Amino acid sequence: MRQVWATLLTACMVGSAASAETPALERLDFRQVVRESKNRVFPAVVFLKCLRDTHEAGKRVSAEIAGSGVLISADGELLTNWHVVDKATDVRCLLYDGRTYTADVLGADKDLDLALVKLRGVDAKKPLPFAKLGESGSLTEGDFVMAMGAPWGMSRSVSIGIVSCASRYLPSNSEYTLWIQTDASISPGNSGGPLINTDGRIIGINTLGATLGGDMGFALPSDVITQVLGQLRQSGRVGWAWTGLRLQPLRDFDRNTFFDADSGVIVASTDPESPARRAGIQQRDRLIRLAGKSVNGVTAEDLPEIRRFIGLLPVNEAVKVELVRDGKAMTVELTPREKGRVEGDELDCPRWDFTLKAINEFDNPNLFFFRKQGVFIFGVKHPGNAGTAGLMNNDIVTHIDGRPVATLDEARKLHAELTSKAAEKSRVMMTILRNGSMRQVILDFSRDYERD
Amino acid sequence: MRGLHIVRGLVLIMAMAAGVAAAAPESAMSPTEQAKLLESLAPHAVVVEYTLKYDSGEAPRGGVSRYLCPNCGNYHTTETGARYVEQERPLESGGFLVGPTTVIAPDVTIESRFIAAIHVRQGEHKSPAKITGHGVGQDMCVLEIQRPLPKAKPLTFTAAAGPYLAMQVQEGNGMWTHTLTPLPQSVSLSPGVRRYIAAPNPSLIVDKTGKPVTLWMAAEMPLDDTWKTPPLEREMLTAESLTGRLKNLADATATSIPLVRMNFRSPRAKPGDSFGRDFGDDDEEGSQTERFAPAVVFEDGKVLVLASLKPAQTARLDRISLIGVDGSARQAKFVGTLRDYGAFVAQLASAPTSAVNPSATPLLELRGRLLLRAEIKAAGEERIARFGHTRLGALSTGWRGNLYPEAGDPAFLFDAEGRLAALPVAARKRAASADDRWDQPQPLITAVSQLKAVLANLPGEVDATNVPLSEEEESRIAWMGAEFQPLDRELARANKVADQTQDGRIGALVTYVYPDSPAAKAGIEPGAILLRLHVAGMPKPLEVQMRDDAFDMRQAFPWDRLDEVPEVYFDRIPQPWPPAETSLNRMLTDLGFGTEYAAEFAINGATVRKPMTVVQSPTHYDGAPRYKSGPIGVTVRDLTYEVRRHLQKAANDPGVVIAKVEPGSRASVAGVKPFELITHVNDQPVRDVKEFEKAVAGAPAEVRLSVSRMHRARQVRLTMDKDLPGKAAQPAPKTDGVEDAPRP
Repeated sequence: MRQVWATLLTACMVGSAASAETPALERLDFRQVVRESKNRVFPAVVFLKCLRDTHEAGKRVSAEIAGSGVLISADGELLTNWHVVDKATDVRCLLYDGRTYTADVLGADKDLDLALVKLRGVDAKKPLPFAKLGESGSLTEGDFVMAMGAPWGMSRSVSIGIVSCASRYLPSNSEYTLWIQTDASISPGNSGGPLINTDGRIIGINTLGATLGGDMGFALPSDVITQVLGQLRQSGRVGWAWTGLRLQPLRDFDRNTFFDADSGVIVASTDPESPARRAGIQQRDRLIRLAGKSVNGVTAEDLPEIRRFIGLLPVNEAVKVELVRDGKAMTVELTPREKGRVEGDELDCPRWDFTLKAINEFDNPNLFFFRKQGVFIFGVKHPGNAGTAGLMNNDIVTHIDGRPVATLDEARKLHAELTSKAAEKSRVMMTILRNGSMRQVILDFSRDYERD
Repeated sequence: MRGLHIVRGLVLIMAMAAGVAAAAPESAMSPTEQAKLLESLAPHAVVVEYTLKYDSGEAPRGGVSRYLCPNCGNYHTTETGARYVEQERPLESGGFLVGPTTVIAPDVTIESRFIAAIHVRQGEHKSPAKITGHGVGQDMCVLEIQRPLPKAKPLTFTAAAGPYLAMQVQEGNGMWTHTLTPLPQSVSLSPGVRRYIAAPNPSLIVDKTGKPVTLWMAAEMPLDDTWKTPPLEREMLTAESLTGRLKNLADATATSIPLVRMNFRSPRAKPGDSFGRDFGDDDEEGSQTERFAPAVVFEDGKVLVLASLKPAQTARLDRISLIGVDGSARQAKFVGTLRDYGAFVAQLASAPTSAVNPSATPLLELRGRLLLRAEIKAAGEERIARFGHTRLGALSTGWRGNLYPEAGDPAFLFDAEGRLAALPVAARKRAASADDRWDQPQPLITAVSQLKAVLANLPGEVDATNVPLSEEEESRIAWMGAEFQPLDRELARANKVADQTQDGRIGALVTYVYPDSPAAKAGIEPGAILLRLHVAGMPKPLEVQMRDDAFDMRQAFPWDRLDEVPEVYFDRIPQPWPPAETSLNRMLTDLGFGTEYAAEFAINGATVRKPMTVVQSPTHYDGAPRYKSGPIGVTVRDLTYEVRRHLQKAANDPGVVIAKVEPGSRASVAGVKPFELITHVNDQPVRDVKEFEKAVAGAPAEVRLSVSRMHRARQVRLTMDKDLPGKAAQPAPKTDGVEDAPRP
């Protein structure tokens, strides 16, 4: 679900919050409010075009992708989506006034789908227009917002709507945040653009859209951005802490499951070999306090905040966890560790006509289940040798030519070695795991499918 | 092709006399004299025309589908009677006048329903005729013509002295030709069995002056003078009498060879069935729930049901009922599946109302003789029976040296007295390689004596593993204890076994070996290649031929998308783990538990045979004990060996697998999905369905389940004290305003 939405929304949305507190609401000139708030942010909206290396098709393909962004500093820092600049080899930016820049990605976080980009060669004497982050927490449903960006690549576009839901929970889109749902028109190309309020403040980064029907777009709230922006700027990433705790609310209407307790949050399960399991936390435990803070996961909407709180705990420092098990209160010590990478690297294997990706616990949990460290076939080129040999996406490669493979480096070396000797030997035995079952596949790469 | 042989082609195999032409003694007659003699005999010869027609949508046929060519010794496909109908010409055979209006001709065993008209012709004269009698021992029939033919001269027979000449009437190139040969004197002898002169037949035998001696209508002529009996004095059956006997036979077989209805338990539903799950592994009839077949009732109440059931189907066999003439049903009890024949035996509780009367005469003695023939088939519940007469031609040596008629549609054969001589039963193929899977064994006409011997020695002749089983046991299957990948050309070559595997057409690569399994005990490791099985008592090694089924070709099971599956498609989700029932396991099961065999493997380039025994696999998913909880709305099964392996569960890890979720049930509303595991109920681990049953027994107000999917889990709480799952009580939120609290 995430993939579909995110891709289609390679665009950004901007909105403006209504100034609800204005005492003389009826006398306010609405046209004026819209125009003023728009004018504050509109010059800071950026149209991005990136070159990205993709490996889905079984070979490396450089594809151009377009999105939006918004400048947040005079020296050229801008916010956009992670999925706009992910794996970008080249980032070009077009400003409102027609100036163009190349840019570097300062930091990105896949979990929040957020990226911080810096324009190159900004003249310090000519400060750039920029917008400020507002407080998304003050938004309520019905507030006016505007989305800005380049829907379908048409830059300098703005649309208006209201906040349809200020705290939308999308279970398959980010464990750490809720979303602002708006009916302001958002289309592919809006990704990374700002959603602004009527004060002319950025209250969200437009990230997701509904692909089928309905005017629904979803923006990452500015309050969450504010929490992690410093980390992105300093270390290029959000150093999420990881405990392996999986949480479940006390009251789950969707699954018709209701626990008697009024407070705390249920432990659904703990991941194998995780800090939570090491701490002795068990499924069905109810967590009450964590690192001195009460945790209340009454409904699913409460979970992202708890997870973000845990995710932002300092790593490798023990914290106290108060929990209730079988009606008895107890306290354990939990030492979060760094979550680390949430996606594996990719490797093109020309002539073999497939691409590999390293298995990542968070990105490919179902493959990780069968192999903790390894590589899998990410894309199969058609027509190509791998496809002809019967290799398929998600086949975990365990051996190449009888030699074990656990990392992309090992695969890269074997690929180089074996393809260089293609003239003498053009068949290689691949041992794979498919659906958890071992198979042998003979890859005949004598044919060059790239020959013109 | 001679006209007479065309008749034979249609009716039965021509028993050709060998060496007719070779046995030419010195002839005292010059060719001119012979021609003259033939000319004087010509007025005795006539041509019989049979005008054929279709009946009940069937082309005219006499009983064979192929025949042995007397010229080349090979089998040819016979021209059916349809040819004669389409070409608007009669089927013809030669004959001789033995009275002013009486003709003797080779017997035609075309059922009368296919004969529109019969005429006898001589030159330009022609008269309608009808068959009035059939030779019992000799292959002849008697026809009566309506009006005498003007130029015809009936034969009068005298016991003249030899040497003799034989005159044959044959058709070729559109002409009827008369041939005269000296009657051979060469003798054939099967020591201790028979001695005879191979005589040209059918033929008119005359002395050298042309005096008729007799008509000879059989392949073998006795050495003494008994052959000289005039034809009309031989044993005959009038046409009326034959009709009467066929009628009696029809009446008798209505109850002695009735139809049997077999009722089977429904096969168990399997996940993903509607996506055409691996249909190749099931027999065509594998999923039948009702089947009909003819059965032979013997005097002692034994019923031989002529249905070849595989173990998987017999396992579900529930009821056997003999269908009476009036449609009533009489129950019979299963006794045993014959090991070597495609039939099983059942037993009636009380004495049968009628039974077949088996003939004691060996088939060999019945050759050429008039036999009654019954074709009895089941078209669903409808019994289709056709009756006629036939004659056996040559017998050929078949399976285990038994004698079989060389060809023939499957039919029951009776002697002229109505005693059962042979019946259509196939030899059983217990197990077959995939290549042979579809060639159905041709039903053979097997001598009743052969089957009587089998029935007399039943315990020793039945396959103890091809039996009806209880519901718990019906899914049992044999195993070797390994997972396999089918070989292909590239794999065979890479593993250097191309010469052992017909370049990868056969063989399977071991990809996993279960601990403590037969394969593990034999020291088999992944990478070994299973080539074939050598089974004691099976003439041909069983080549291992597996193929990738839907499971192997499928990409990863969509665990992530399980929540998106609407309830109506729950039953269609294919199971995530490889099926335990593979073609190899099925083949082993068909061999029968306890069967000793040697599995031939290629291991590191060397071929080794591992002695093994067919053993039953541990309980697998399809046959796992299950428990259905109505209030919760799930059916759970034990975690079986292959599920544990796939989900990486140790033998002592708790859990039962959710095999079915009832749409709209409490579980369904709580988001429980098929193939998830329930590891705990009310905080207590459940290790099998019994523990699960105990845990949810009684009427608990609530049931708390720990449900896991792959490596993640969640807690489910079901409130049981309400009628509808949707009304399950929700405790009032006591937390003030947590839900409405502003987000940070």
